[in-house]
Amino acid sequence: LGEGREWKQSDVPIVFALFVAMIVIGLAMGLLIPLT
Amino acid sequence: LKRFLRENGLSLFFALLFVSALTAQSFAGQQNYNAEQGEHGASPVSWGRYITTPDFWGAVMENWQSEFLQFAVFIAATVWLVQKGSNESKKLEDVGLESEQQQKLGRHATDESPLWARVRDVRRAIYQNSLLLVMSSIFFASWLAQSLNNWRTFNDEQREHDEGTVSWGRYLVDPDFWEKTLQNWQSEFLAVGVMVVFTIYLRQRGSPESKPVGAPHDETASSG
Repeated sequence: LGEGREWKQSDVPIVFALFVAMIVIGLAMGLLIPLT
Repeated sequence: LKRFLRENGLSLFFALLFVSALTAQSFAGQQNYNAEQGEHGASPVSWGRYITTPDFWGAVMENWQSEFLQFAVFIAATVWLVQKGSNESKKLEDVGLESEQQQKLGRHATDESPLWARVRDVRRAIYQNSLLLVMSSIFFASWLAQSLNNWRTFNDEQREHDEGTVSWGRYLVDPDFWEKTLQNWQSEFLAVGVMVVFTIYLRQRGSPESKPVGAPHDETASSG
């Protein structure tokens, strides 16, 4: 990729999972707090 | 690790900014909340208690919804609308969903294309709209969350002033909800419009959000 290096499959999922986790936790808190 | 940081710097930088700003918001919010508690003769709350209040989550969700609305609208609008000279627009002749060749779909897909772009069934229909679907889902979920948190806060204030509480359905048509919603929307739409128009004439050397410094003003979509 770009510099001829191999795309390390594990690299992208970490940051992707990080943002998915932040969104899921945020939405879960945002929805559960007012209902409790 | 060094390589990982270099290759993921942009997303990690924004994750760090997000967590820092959210944390700072929670401390500032607690101070403000406790000042109001004092005015009403109520006892102050701890930080741990504050971050489980609808006051905090209402403020968080209110801003989330408008950001995700902004991106969802921008993603959808840029399929069908263009702006001559803007780096945020695609080329004028590319209006619409574009050909299978341009989109590397079906027989134009390569071995490296995602599986769901190579198939021709419902998976492709989902995948070719997945960014818009997810961004708008987050918008609707956070807008719902905003309404629930603001509704709880609204009723708490009503009780403090010995006034009647309202149902969630009634709160959805209350000016309080719409003011909190629209004050965020207006700023997002302005900022997006400004980016679309300002990139016609203004530049930032090195940024993919800008056209190359020497690109002519009437050149559309010359970067990114």
